[in-house]
Amino acid sequence: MSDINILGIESSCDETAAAVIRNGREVRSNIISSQIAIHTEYGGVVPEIASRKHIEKIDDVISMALKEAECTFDDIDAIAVTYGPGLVGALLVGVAEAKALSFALDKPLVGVHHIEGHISANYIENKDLEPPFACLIVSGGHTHLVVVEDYGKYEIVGRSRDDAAGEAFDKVARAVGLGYPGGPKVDKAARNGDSHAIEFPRGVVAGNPYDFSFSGIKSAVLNYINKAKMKEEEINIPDLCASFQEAVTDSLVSRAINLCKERGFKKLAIAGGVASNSHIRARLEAECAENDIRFYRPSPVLCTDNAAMIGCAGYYEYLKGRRDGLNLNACPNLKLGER
Amino acid sequence: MLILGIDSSGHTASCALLEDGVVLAEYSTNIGLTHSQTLLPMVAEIFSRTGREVRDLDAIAVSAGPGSFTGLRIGASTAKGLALGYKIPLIEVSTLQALARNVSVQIPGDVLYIHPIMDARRNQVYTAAFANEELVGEEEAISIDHLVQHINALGGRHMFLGDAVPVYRDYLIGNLTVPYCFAGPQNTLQRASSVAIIGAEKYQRGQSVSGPDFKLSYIRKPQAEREKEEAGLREYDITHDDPEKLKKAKAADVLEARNYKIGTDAGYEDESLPENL
Repeated sequence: MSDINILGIESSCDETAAAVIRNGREVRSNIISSQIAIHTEYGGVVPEIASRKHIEKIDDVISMALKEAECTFDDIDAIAVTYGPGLVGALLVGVAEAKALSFALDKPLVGVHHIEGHISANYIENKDLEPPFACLIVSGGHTHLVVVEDYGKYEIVGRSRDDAAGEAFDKVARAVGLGYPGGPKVDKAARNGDSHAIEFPRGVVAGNPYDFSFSGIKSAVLNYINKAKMKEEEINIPDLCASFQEAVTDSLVSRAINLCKERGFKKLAIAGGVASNSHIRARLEAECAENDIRFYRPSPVLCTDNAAMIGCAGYYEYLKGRRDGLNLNACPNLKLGER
Repeated sequence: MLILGIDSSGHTASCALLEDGVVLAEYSTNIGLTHSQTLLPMVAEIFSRTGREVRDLDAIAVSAGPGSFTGLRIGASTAKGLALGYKIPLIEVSTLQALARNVSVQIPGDVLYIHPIMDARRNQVYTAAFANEELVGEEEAISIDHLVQHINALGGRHMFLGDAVPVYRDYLIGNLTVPYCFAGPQNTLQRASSVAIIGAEKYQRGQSVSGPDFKLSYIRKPQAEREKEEAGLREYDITHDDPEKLKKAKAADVLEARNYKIGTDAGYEDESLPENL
């Protein structure tokens, strides 16, 4: 069988990215133009600015992906593009560009779910990983515990009832003046802190033992900060970050491990931007080892938004015969497993 | 010379093929669907009807603003995607100039001022004046009462068109003291044939750009940027450096695209996230 090359395109939030993926799991190029330095000045992603930057950079990013992969459009078998979920204005740039390329070059088009991309990032560095397995997805917009039954087939076992884990990180970081993006800043500050210095509540949700809640933890942290300010006490930021991170990690790890034990899964993967958090990775690795579960995680650069993961997810959809038409639209609220 | 014109800056999605000055096909819809769903299928339709191919194009002329931010970007990224595969040049065409061209009239020794007015919300219109197909003054976002004051002071005869006409029709009728008229419904909204015709003129003057160099002219900055600037305007911020130049140099640098290589074997040698991500 000859090689299949997929051009992946991603523009759902604040990274403009393109990649060329060979046979689903080999990254020939992985180009990212990150806008993080611009949005940092605003304390978060500004959708209109993100969209304007995407359209300025997208041509260069795609051309660079081909050049670094040492190929041309002739070598591309299909174009995979993120069409949701995400910021609608940002998604539209990638979707319109990908559709037009697909039409002009007469190449098949495959729309990819952004979160499915994050999950698929695990395939890239783990050639042996095949469904079924359990996967914990933690990002700025999503917290999901899923069973990956097959490529593109998911059972959502648990989800956050309120804030996503990444949102809680961003809000806590802002409250203690660490700024945006909160995830890496809290992670770094927590390294010098005591994770049991302050006891924050672990969010428990009635009804489904696998659902998450992070607004309670976030509020407890904000209350702690306000009380300290009123009493004019100094806040130990490393201790606070470490204790907050511990509370979030406990919620995530306990549910993921319980799911594996209860359903007999021997493989657990993590995905999403927050999956690059060093504490969450270390705790999951330790608990997986203890319970005889194989732990999979993408390199941090593949946890962040990128197009290699979109190309990978797109490859398996392409093999299954999925093709999208020229009327493909951006779906900002696309649910996992939906079309 | 084969030129594709595209306009999705307003409620209408429109595309047209212009060959050696002849409009081969024009397709416009204004049916409340998103441009993302309608524009490219329409482009495909006019290629199929005319038997022409994307690779045969000499250039793609695109409405480059002002207009709906998202609409402009759908048109521009569609054009960029079409152009990228075959390295076809793009032509930036002002939405206002193209609108004015819908009703172009040149009468020797006489002047009719054409005022495209586009609803810019917040009680403003994007507008510019054109006389004998030439821009008079500059493109701007101004309030309708300002515009009427200017026109009354200018004198002469005037024609209005654009999607802000229904919004401000009564105000214009009540306040203009000069002779005026409105364009008919067949040419009051954006038409890609006008974009393509101006595009062909610019192409012959060598005014085309590559896809990556194509720029939209939004006229307005993003709200967050305006608010930040208003809040941040402090006296001690004034420097002798050209702030526009500084900003440009900085923006170009921070957005630099890089190839983040991924190894071919499983392994977690690098557990840290690159600094700039």
